Amino acid sequence: MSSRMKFLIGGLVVVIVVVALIATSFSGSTSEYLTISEVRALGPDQTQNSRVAGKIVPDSVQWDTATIHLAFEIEDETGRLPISYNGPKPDMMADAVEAVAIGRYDPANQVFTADELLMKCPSKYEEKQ
Amino acid sequence: MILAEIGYGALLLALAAALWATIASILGAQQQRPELVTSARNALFVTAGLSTLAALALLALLLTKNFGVAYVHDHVSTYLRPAYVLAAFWAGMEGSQLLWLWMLAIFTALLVLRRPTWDRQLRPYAMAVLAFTQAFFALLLVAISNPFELLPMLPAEGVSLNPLLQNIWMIIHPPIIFAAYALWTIPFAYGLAALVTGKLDSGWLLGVRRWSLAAWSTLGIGILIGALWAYLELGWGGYWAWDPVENSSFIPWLVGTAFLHSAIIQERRDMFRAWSVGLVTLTFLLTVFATFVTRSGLIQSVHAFAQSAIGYYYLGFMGLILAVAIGLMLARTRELRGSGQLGDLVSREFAFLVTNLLFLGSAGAILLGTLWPTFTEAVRHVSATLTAENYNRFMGPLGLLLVLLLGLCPLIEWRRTSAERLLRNMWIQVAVGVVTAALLLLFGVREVWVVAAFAVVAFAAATIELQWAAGVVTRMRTAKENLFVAAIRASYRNRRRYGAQIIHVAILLIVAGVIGSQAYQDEVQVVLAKGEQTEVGGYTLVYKSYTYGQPEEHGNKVRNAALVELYRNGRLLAVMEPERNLHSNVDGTVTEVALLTTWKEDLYLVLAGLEPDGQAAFQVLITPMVLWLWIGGLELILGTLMAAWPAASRSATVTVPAGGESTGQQAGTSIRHRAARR
Amino acid sequence: MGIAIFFVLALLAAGAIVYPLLPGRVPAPLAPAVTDGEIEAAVRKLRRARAGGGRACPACGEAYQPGDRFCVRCGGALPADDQGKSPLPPAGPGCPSCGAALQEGDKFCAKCGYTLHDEEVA
Repeated sequence: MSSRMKFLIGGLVVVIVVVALIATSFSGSTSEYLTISEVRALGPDQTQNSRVAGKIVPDSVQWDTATIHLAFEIEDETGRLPISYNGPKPDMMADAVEAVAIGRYDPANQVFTADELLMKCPSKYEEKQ
Repeated sequence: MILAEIGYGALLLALAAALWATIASILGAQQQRPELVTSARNALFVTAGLSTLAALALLALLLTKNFGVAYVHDHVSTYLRPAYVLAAFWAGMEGSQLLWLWMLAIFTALLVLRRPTWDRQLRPYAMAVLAFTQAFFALLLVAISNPFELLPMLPAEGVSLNPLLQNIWMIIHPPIIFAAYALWTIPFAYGLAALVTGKLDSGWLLGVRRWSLAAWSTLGIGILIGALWAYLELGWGGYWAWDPVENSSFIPWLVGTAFLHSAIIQERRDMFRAWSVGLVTLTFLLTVFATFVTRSGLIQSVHAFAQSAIGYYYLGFMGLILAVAIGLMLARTRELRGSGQLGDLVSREFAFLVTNLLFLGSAGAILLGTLWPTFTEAVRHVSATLTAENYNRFMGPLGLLLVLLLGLCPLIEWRRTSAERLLRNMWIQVAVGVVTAALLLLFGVREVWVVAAFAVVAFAAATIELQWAAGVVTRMRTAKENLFVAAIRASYRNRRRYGAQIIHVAILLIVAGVIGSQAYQDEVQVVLAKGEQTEVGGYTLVYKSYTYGQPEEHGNKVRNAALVELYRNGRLLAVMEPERNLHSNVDGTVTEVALLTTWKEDLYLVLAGLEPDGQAAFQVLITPMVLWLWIGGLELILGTLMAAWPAASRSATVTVPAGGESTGQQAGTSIRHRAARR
Repeated sequence: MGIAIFFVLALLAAGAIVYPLLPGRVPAPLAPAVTDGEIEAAVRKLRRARAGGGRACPACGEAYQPGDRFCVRCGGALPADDQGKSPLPPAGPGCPSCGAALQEGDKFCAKCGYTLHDEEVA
């Protein structure tokens, strides 16, 4: 077998391995963007995180220092959703118009428990918490 | 408003000059008319001057807070501190593009300032490419993305700069990134010029070597500074979130690294010529793509793309460059065939090929991941975003394979390596890796991938150190110098080699830091009343006192801070004061993190909430080995400086007669030749 | 006022661009086709060929000297036939790996095959 052939096959093997690695990494545990009504339709058997975005309902933001807990509501054209988050209140929250919550929906308490919050501000830059 | 007119007019003229420079340099080279090339050269000085004028005009408009100009209104306000006006310059698309144009124009002018030497035939075509790129950005600025656009009336107040951007990082980070993108245009320009002229031997690579190194290291440093910014300012305790803006600068860096290595193969063995031109073209295209992604909001919403025509301009430019590059490569198939012949599979050539495939694979995967939401939305109507876990699942193994190769490549020889020689050369390093793994297991580390990862890093580090030691020892033997002198002289004489090795060690430091900080992070949330204390990760935090509602800065700032003493084993390590302040010009709070950094780990203290009675909520994050990333970054700069340091002297030619004697010099001392060395 | 400045700028720019094109200007000569570096490399090649007495690397064809064990251009192993000494004068300090004498333009050490960088040879 010529050197050229060996290199081609060797290179191809590497490419296949790399592509396989990437393909398996992309499957599962991505987080999908859902509307609020879609989130509310989720059952208790969620296998992966979901993302939901909505306008922050004014005056719905409650922060409790003693429990380090943030509660607020978001709404979109399909409904309203209470969000629960254990962590510092994001800096930009007062200025933010929209929030993205990443986490799981708790159907029993009808609350979305967020692991991560992203604040969307009018000038297009985001803050991550 | 006259400044806006001057600025816009300057851009218009710059567009014309750049177009002329493109045409004239090509015509001048084709028709052997040097006066056309000189005219093009002058035109490039003109664009440098005009873009400087336009940039100064925008700066002046920002500093004088002229809200009649839309861009000024959108990014500045009467109460914005003067220092952040600079940040406002490049906060939006129009300003960033002007910055890109200005930097490219200045670097081009510096390039053409010096008379051609090695690039006498390539220079005109490189000029054409640079000029055409300048013309593209000038066209964007003039036609569709005008920083000097006026508002129909004069508002009294501006929108102001996003408070997240009001810090030193926004002042230094974007210019560094855009400088890197502009610098990458130069090796790309010469790559295309090499294709056009057919002079595809390693001459062009050697000639642009310093520009390539500058571009690569500037981009790397820019990315690290971005990470440091995220870590210190954003307050979530991490430095990398795999978000589209971060990814879009990392992808060209990976491809650029592949290019640097491909250049080495071509230089040594005259092989993989097509890889070199292809990779430099890809790197350049990705930097243009990155500029587009960062400021256009494409990823967040596909609809943002369609709202403005600017996406089509970018796509058109990238498509054109790609078509030209591919067309030229097809036309030059013969010249792209190097003279080197492939050897065995177990050879440095194949190892480099695998390295390049891994870099490209990583870049492609991250690109796919970045575009995944757009892609899934188009196909499945539900947009899915990759989480950090997805990225880590492929970047972890790919990164580790690359580190393994980093350690193996110097041991594998060109053309062919006997397995026995390889094993003989590598047993010490393997032993180091095994000992590292054993030590880690001994210390209680149980995660397999962490142990394996550190073992591989140790293996690679050992290879590098041993190579250097061997070089020094040889010099001690042959030049009869003592250890100290030999070490310095060996390093200085082999700047290119050891500079590269220092860069590799820097990368290893960064990788080690990434492994350590990703593998373990302790997070604790705790609520304390004043005077209380808590234990976290071996540290004792004593909440001593607090400041609540204290006005500062003439009433523009309200300070809320908690004073915490940090102890370890009874010893006071630091007094930390995390803050959560209010600013008059910011809606919401501004968190200031308190940080203690050591080689071993960082203690990151966030004030989550503070009540008037002193009840304070804290978030404590302990992350190992974060400092290693920043130290690695510094070492990267040092290594690049060393690798790029100019050749010693360019004295007069010393002829070496066939007889073997030289003018008054003995064998064994260094003979200075006139070196056209790069 | 803005228009006036614009025309001034346009004039200056046009002037700089047109100036080299005016008749009667002696243009800077375009490059000769060959650079000094290429000439020096060609001379070295000829000297090597003359000194090597016809020996050529089986892989890449570069001339080699008696006693060389690796080709200085491609690094390939050479037939280990004769012992001997290269008649070419050494350039610079020796090989960083084995100390052997080097020639300018060598990419690999003739004695041990070590990969060389530019500044190690000059």
